[in-house]
Amino acid sequence: MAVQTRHLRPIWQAKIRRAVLPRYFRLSGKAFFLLIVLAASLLALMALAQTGRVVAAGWQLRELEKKEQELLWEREELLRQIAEAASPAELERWAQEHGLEPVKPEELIFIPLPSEGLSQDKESGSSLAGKP
Amino acid sequence: MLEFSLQARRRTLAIIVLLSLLALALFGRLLEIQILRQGELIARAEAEIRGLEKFPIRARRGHIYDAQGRPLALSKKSYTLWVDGPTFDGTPAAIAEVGRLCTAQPREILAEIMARKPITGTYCCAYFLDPTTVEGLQKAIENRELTGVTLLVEPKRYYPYGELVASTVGFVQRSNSPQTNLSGEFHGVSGIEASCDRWLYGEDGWVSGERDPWGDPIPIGEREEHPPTDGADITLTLDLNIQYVAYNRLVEAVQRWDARRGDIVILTPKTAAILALAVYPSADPNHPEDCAGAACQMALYGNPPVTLYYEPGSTMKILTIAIALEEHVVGPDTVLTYTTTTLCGIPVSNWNYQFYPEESLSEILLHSSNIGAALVGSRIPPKIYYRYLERLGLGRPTGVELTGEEERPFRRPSENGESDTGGPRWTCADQVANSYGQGIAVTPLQLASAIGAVANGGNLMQPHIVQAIGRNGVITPTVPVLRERIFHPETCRNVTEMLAAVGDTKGPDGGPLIPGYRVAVKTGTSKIPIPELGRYEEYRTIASAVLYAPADDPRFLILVRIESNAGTLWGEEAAIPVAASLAEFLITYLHIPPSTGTGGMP
Repeated sequence: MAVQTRHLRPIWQAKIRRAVLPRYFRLSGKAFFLLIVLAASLLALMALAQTGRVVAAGWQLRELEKKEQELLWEREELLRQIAEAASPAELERWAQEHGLEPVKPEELIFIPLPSEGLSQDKESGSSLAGKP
Repeated sequence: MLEFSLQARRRTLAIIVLLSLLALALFGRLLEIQILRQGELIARAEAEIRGLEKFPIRARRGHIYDAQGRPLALSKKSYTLWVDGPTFDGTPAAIAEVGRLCTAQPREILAEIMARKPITGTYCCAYFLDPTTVEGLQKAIENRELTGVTLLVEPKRYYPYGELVASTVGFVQRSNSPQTNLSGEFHGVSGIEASCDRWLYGEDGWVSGERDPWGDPIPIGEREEHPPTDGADITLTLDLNIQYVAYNRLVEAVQRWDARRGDIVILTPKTAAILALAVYPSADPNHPEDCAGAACQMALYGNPPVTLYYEPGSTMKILTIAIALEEHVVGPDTVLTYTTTTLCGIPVSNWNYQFYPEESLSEILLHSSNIGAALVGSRIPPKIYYRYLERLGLGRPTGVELTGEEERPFRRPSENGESDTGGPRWTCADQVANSYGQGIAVTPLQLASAIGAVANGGNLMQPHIVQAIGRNGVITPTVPVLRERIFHPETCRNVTEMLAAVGDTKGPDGGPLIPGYRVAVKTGTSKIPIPELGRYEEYRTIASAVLYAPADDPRFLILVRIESNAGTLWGEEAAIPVAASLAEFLITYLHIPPSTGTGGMP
């Protein structure tokens, strides 16, 4: 059905288009009701799915927070183990087990580095550093 | 075609009827919930869902580390056990398990809870339960063998090295009583835990939102959250290895001499960074509730090297001679000649009752001559002498980041002749006694800091124990603070040379204390005053020794103080061996090369 509407004012053009073109508005009462129910069900399903997702994300967040707490506690426990393993008493016991003894000052050997040799090393080092 | 159309119509009708019934049922249910049972359900929800009250989120308390990054204080997972009177029930075995763990409530309440009498209220039954202890209880709750019982995770402060660093690190206590199912606030009571509490504690956050009966947030409910700022981690200048050796040497000495107590301060003279603060007897900060005796209380709540004043005895002579040299009332080569032992009307005697008619400054320190030190001290104009002692920080808080420092002014001459301290008026006899370290009180840290100024060339540094504060990966180091320049380097060189001469004779056979190294040493033996009686104890003494090495460029300064139990204890016999043994350890530990011209390595 072709209707010439160009000569009409725009508001009348719109009213005629709305009356003529969307034929699906011309459904029977039953079909329209069915369509409404289906649309409402779809919306309800979408809302349910969305709520489900939020709840699932909430649970996931809670689980992650719990895991974070557990990891923090694990870190504390590891620190405690480090403290015990690196304690001076433990190191002393380990050293004694391996036959180590404390060094006395007179047993220390210091090797003096000649200042000339040190500067030469520095120079040679810098020249080496310049090589490709 | 007609049949098909009829069938289709029937099916459509059936679907419509079905969906309509469903919609009707939903509508009916909505009607019931929203209108018919509205009042009842709102009341039930309000009872079950915790409202929009703010729940605190506790900030994680920061750690305390030693200079090498070993944790001195951290948090440990523990559980608090809560029992809800009205809903408490379960199997006999599970109830017996609760009864075994419950120790925090009075027996009568516990008995009522155990008998499942209808009592109201929720009771905190036990604190700080170890995770392994509550495993059985957790299973019982999970298996629904127990109701009305809640286990809440709560951090417990844990000190891995216990009494080794108890005085310095301190401990924390709950600041509020747990009336609700919330963990209380833990704040430092002593030591670094108290002095750095504002950094360690951080800032609590809060969450506001709907929660279910178990306290868990409802995900689709209203929720607002302000996350907590965790506490900062504190790194100390204290080195646990040095602390360990110092503590062990101190324990040996106190036990060997049957002494009452003792403490050791080790610091770096150039920066006044504290390397060790050993105290014995000590106490376990993990169990402050078990601390009953005075010594234990002093170790845990006070920090004797920082707070406990004592008369320093002969170690004070170092400062007297340094002040005299700085003021040019004597020179390094001055030889004092004297015929009397009565100064300012008081008789002065040496520790061994020997009399030396002529003594150089070096010999005064070598003999530890009270008469010589008193004579040198008397030559310094009183106001100038006490002004120096004040500038050296004696009797005043040092400003170290530890709690408990107090001011204890000493008597000094005043403009109007009245006493500044409210006690007896100052007389010149005070200056005589003060010159050799009696009649004036200092803390070991004050004295170590003041002698540190002599050791480092004249700069009074502020003692410090906090090396850095770290938060969120950002580390803020502390900077050594120069409080005042007191002495000229020349004065310090002269005094150090005299003290090194003492060190050259304190070895086992009268030789150097540590072969190959020049070590500046001074011992002290001081009487203990009884303020109420206005006199000194007859026999008891405090033996002490100050040592810094190497003399020409000191890397460490040690102050040892040992308080005798009943008899007299001499610094020479009790304190010097401890200081020397520690110096030997520190020389090897810090890789200090031998001094030149001492028979050591060239």
